[in-house]
Amino acid sequence: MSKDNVLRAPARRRFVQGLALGGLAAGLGLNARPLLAADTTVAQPQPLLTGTDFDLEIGHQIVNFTGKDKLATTVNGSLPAPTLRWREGDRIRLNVRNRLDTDSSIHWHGIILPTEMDGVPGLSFDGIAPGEAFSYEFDVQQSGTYWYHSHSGFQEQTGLYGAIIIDPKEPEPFSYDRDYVLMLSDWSDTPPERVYANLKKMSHYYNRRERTLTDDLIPEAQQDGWGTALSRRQMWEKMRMSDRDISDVTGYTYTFLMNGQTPAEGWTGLFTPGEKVRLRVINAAAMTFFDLRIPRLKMTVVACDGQYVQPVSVDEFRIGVAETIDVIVEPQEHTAYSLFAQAIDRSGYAHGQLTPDPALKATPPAMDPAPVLSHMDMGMDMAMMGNDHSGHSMPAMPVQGDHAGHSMPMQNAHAGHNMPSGHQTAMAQSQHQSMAMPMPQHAMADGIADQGMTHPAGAQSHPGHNMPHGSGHGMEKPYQGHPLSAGMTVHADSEFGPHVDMRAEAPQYRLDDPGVGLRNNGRKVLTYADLRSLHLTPDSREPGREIELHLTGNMSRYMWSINGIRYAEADPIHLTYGERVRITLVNDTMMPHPVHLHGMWSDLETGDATYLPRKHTLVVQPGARLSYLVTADARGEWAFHCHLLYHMMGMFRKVVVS
Amino acid sequence: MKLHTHWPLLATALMPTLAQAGMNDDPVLTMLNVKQLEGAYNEDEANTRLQWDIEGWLGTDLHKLVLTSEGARLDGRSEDNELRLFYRRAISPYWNLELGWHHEPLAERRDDRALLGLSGTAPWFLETELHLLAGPDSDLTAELNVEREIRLTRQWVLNPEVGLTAHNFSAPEEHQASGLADLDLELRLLWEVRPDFAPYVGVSWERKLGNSADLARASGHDVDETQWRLGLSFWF
Repeated sequence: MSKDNVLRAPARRRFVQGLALGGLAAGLGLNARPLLAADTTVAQPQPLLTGTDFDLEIGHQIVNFTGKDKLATTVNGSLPAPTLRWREGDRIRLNVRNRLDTDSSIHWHGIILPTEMDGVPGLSFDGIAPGEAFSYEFDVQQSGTYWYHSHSGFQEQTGLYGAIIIDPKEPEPFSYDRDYVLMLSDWSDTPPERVYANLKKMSHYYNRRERTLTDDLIPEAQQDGWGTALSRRQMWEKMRMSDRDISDVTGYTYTFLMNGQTPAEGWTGLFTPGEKVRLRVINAAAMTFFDLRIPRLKMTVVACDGQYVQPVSVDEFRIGVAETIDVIVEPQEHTAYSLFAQAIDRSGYAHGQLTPDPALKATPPAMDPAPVLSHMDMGMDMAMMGNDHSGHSMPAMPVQGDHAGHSMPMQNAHAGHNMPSGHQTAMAQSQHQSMAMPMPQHAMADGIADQGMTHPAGAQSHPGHNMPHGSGHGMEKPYQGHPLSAGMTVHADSEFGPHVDMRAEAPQYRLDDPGVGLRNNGRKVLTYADLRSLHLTPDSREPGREIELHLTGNMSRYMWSINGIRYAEADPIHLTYGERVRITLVNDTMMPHPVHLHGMWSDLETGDATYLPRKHTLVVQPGARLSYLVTADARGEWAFHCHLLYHMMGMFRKVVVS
Repeated sequence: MKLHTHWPLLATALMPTLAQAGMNDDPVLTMLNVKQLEGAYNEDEANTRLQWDIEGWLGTDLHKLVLTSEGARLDGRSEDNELRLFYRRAISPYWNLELGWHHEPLAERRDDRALLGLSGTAPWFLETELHLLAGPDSDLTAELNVEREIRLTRQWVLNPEVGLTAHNFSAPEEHQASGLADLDLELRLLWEVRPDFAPYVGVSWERKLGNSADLARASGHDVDETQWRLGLSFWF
């Protein structure tokens, strides 16, 4: 069992994080650390609040992560907000006062609670007006690692996020000697409203890794010849898309933080060699996926989104925005270990260290090469572009080698266009008995997936087509497929128009795909296929129905929606109290979306129905599909949305359980 | 109406004012895009013009009200000024339809015309704009403009641009004749300091075509013109 928890710090100690400067901090009576001390001393533990009654005050705080003083939105003057430590079974009260001049709110992410305590303005309550307070009160019915954040405006981007740790009633199924929160986030000196406006005006504003002549084309041409180099570019150019379009907002403006500290400061956690250290990794970023690894150290994943999973030993994991992953590491050597969390687009990293001695510093490893999207990441076989349906007229693409092994139902490439309209109408109502049910695939041979060989009952499936393997220039090796198989995908009428620039034609289950930038990198990377709950699936009922939702958008116009319908124009999704329902998400965009359902658990379908991992946030890979089961056991109005902050306003639904 | 003289005021009014996006995914935004603000040196005439090409808009994702100003000044006198005010509506993922008004404050005739346009991004990232201008007596002018970015390095960008103009009428005093009338080739090299701020150097070559060229020659004018340009491109 856990002992000597580092987190068991005195309650209500407060520290200004990062390089928060004196001025305002002193005015608020905070205990600001001297500026220069940061690079020589061990970082202070997170401010920690424990007990059952909490007073939280939302206000402004001057911070300095880049050399410029900026105003952050904080709780009790701290960025990240104080870590809250609860106990399973307690009834807790959180009195939240808003000292901002705008409305605010706090949402307890992943916490099962009554709808009116969920903290989503417009759904759960009216929000907290300036100067007002709101008392949250609920029973804690779960344990593990969670977090909290504002659900108002863009306040989360400017610092309003903190960790929640819930100690379990029952002993934990693993032991450790030290316990640290690693809260990853992204900070920009640019006000988030401005970031959003920049994206609307120039969607690639923050992408500083677009292909160039000197860095890409000429070297490629010298290696492979001009014809090959140009033809490789051809498809993307024709589609008016960029295979370097990984993140909307990048290290060009972001400073990536670990527990509120910049890579230069380097958050530091202490250990004694031989100890077991639990790291509770929380992705509290507004827009950034992180790939975290500790060179020379295996990590044992023991929980995901707060829920125990059967231990998996990995070298690296990708953590989507709003996910939490608990790992246990056992550093043996008397040396500093780098906690290296590179942004998915390799535009920067968050960095800290585990060290036996504050004098020993770890240097971050070199970042991996910037990822390049493949055809598979677009869920495609050929182009399927928007208005002019150029997919119909496009000549066959030259084989580029980066999409080999990906099964391609060529015959039905344009199914969405050819379907009788009756199917599309059904889809448009966003409640659709899918034609493709997830089924374990038994027809796997030699690791080469031909998903078309599986014919799930009732589904229309098609002979697949395997492209030959090849090795393109600087391309990742192909992903080999997943035992869940999907049939034809139908796109709703509402997905056609100026607001949607792409529809995945052959979205596959890719749970065992580590994702772009991590495939075949020589390290064992955690995938969703590795996740098996420690406990039996609590609700073993078959789902009574399926709701298929497509994540849609127009990157260049920077518009985001579900089924092509933005939140402002969407009808709520209705669930019947008590029902078990399958939600299938199809990602019709080129980037991963972390989708979060409030109030109820999402049991991710991995192919093993007995031990479905329970999650609150699910990452749908670009051009892929994924499904999960939900028991509608919480009455009320709940939010359901993409957790990328600048996607959320459009890619959002109200879920009504009655 | 000398709307162009009020441009600075309009520019101020179009300053970005996104106060609180809140849960509105599609707020009303404004953009002032100074595509070109430059000094243009003409070797033959040995003079330098102040030239600009500016677009401002107010609107949402799919609907925008657009005001553009293009013109030149030489020795304190305005030349070739034109203003366009139109509604831009998205009609497909990459294309917009435009409908509005074209105004030339300096021209002696064809002062105001109706504008029908198509703008957007063609495959190969070709930024394309086609404007059809309709004046009295069924006089039509078509303008096609195509440009793209060629990113040399992270910060150096080559920006070639091709423009073509055609008329269905003749205006001899302006050296405009029926048929293809003008070809405009431009090449700019931008140093992208930031995505929204880039100084550039450029060269342009403009040539009269067909009957328009004949009209120019007949009156003893050059049919082509080369300009060297030094300017700034920025938006907010």
